[in-house]
Amino acid sequence: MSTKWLKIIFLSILLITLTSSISGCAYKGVDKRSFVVGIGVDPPKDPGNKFRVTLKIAKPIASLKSSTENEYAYLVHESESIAQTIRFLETQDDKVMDFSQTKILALSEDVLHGDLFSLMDYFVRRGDLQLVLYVLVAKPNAEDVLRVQPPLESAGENALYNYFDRTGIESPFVTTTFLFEFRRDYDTKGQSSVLPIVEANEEGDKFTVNHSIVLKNSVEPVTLTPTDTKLYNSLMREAAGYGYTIDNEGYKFTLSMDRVKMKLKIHVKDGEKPRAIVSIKAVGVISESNKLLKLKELDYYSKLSGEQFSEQVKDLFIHLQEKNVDPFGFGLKYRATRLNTKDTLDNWKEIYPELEFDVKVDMQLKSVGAME
Amino acid sequence: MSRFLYYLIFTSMMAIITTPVPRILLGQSADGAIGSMLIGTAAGILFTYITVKFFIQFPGRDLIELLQAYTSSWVRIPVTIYFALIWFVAGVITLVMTVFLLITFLTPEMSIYTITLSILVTVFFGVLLKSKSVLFTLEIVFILMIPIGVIMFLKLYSSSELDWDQVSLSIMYINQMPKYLSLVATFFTFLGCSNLIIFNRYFKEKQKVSTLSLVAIGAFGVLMLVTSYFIPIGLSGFDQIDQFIFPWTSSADAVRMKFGIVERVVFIFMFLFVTIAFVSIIIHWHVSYKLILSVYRLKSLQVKQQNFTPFLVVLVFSIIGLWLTVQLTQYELYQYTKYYYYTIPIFVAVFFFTMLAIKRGASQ
Repeated sequence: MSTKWLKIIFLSILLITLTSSISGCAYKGVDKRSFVVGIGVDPPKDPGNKFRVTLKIAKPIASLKSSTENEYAYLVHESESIAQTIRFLETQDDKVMDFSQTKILALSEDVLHGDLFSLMDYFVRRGDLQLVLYVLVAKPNAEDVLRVQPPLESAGENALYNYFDRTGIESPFVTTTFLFEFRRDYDTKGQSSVLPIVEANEEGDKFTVNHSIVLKNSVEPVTLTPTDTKLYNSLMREAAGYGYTIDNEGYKFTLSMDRVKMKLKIHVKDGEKPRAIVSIKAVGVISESNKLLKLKELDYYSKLSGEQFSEQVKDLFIHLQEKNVDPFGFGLKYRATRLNTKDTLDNWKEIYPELEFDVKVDMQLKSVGAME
Repeated sequence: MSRFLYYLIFTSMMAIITTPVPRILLGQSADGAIGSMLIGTAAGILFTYITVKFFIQFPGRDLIELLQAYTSSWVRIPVTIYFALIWFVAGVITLVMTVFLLITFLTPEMSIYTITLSILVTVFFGVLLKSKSVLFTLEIVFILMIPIGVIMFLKLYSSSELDWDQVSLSIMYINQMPKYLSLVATFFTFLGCSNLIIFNRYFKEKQKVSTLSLVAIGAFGVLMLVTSYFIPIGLSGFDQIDQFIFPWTSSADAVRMKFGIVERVVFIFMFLFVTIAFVSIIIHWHVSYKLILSVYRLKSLQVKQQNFTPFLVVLVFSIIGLWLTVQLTQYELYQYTKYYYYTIPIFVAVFFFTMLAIKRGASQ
């Protein structure tokens, strides 16, 4: 026997032994998995438990053509921890639960008080859950929001996704917060996280997403009105769109913004009150007016709008300052522009309640629309 | 400089993502990591310069040959075995880390044996290739991975979720004293050129180190360090970055492609870095196995013209690799890796001592 043959025999034996070791592959087929599309967390009905968890599971459909509407299965259970509850719910399902497609984490407003560590721990510790899933606050409770079936939802679709993933509606009223973003802002000293509030109506066929809520471990949650939510989204998330109402010197405009940019600077000098200088650049058009508008007076309209816009922004800042939350990250900005010392954080805690806001808006209206 | 040398250096820089280096650096982020990274980079470029300069004097000859020619065997054997051990452990660290990464993020239900074996099968045959073929493999992988790498970098740096305030917050901690561990971890990134101890055999033409090539190496190293350090901070936040076990993967999961092939970019990253990790393991173990063969060849495994010692050596490598992967916990992996990095200055000392000995021998 030549060396070549020996080599071939040796390699084949090796290969066969090794392939036999990987024959018991642990990968399970799609038909043996049930995909969880949403997780909801509510306060328990029985006071002995801590959480009530709802899982929304997609039912397999034969084909998109043959099915007319969406069908989901819901599993609900309550116990002391989220992991325990999910382990229990797994016993109610004949297939392996797959969390890698989960996109919605709905939290009821009542579980948001106090420190959220024990609530959020499971979701970030589990490696196979996406960190780009959408976290939202559900009203009246998470289970109801997950159970909503809007008539416009087609088969194979999940209406809640479309609100947040910016491929469907892109409204300035909708705040999109990913899990990693929520965790980052919640834990960063000098920043608060903002979550959207999704309201389900009583009939269970409609969502409304236009409020948001500011969360920080040390203080009570602060709910933002739709106007404030819109301002926050424009300034922090660079969301654009319709709906900025200006009422100044007899003119009533509705502006549509193309882009809004905000820059922060914090000035702290001895003997002076600390000031935050906020420069905002906004570009947009007028989409509705109560009077005829002249094209040549566009600069004047820009000035009118700018004044009012800066007032609105300032009011929001002061409102948030009073509640001791900081979703715009003034504290982070302060920390990020000074060499770190061990007093930086304590200094900031003293500065923030006294901070004065200096809002400069550079409003640039490009046109009055299709007519004067 | 030959392009293959760049591949060797760049691969070991990219492979740090699948070693504990990012976690070590991020763990000391409030404690002097930036200063250590600056010093480590400078030291790394200096090391690259000296090493390449040394091997240029002996075109087409590897360290084994040089040691045999110019030093006595009581220097040669311990040094060779020490180097073989260092290179083997470097490969094992990447292997264990890659398996842990896959089992946490990709296939939590799969058995650890299956994952490790499926890596080891490929690595087994990769290591047994001729050195020249290893270099060609490296080139092919490198060229295939460039488009994915470019997409990844564009995607990371242009992602709107990246919070630059967090990045600048981390730079504000530059006034801390540099720490030894971060320094050696950074230095480890630049050790790719030391693979020349085996691969110099294939660099036969007379080469020279230009300032430009050093700048290129430095720039790529800094880019990789900056990416592996600041991107996780910008995406996951500065204050709790040290809580992450795999800071890099967890942060890559924060980037998504709205209209891309897959929404979760993390899978593309994993594909890229697991591939790089594969090549990195192959290179490390190849060097190690060549060194071992130069001191030890079993006569009893000689069948006609074929000696089967290489198979035995790599089989032993794989078995130890498998055993360690199954045995080690994550804590132990990080702890032992730290000890390994602590000893890197000893390695550098031995390396330079060997170079000096060869030089003296050659000049006599």
